[in-house]
Amino acid sequence: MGAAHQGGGGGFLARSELAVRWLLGIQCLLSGINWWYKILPFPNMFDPPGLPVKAEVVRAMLDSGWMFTVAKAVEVALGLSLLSNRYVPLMLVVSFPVIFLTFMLDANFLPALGGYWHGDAPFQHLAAKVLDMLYFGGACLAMQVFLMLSHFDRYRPMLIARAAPMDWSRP
Amino acid sequence: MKSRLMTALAVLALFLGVTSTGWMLAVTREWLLPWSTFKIFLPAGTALKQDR
Repeated sequence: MGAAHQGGGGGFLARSELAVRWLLGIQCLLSGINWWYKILPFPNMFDPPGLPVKAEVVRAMLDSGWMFTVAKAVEVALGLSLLSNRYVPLMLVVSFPVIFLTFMLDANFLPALGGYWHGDAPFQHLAAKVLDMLYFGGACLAMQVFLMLSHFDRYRPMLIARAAPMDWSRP
Repeated sequence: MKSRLMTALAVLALFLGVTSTGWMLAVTREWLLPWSTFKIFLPAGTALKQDR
């Protein structure tokens, strides 16, 4: 279905949906696969314990033994869904917590700003925090939100204030 | 109005999508790794001073 249901006048938006879907799909697939097969210089399940982490919450996820694996499995599933254009609206919802928390990990650059302000850290460290916020977490969140809004008509039935349960006795 | 906002979001998503893919490749190839917080994975002694 994908862009086909976007109707007339959506030429640019339909082409954008395709491009953004591929961009986010490739990024999520590479990032997810990296957990089992190292292709990026990011944490991998076969890394020795005790390596530095970007945030302590990541260390807690690694130490749990399953949380990071689940998050990476969701990334792989989202990547495959986006690239194959199968179950895209569903996977965008399923993966939203992972994408949002990834953004939140990169979003807090205030300690880096404070460190730079007080002369405890070089400008390069502040720049690294801002660039990662923009190009890792921020970019993924922007693409995710755009894709979810592109498929908003699929979510509209969920936006009901008082929902009655389904009648399973109905043939 | 909604269509214009959606077009603006599409432009932003495309821009960030293309540049972030470039950023990811640059960090992966270690061209820009010192400019990413992933510099913590650089060999000991080459990492920049942290902010705490």
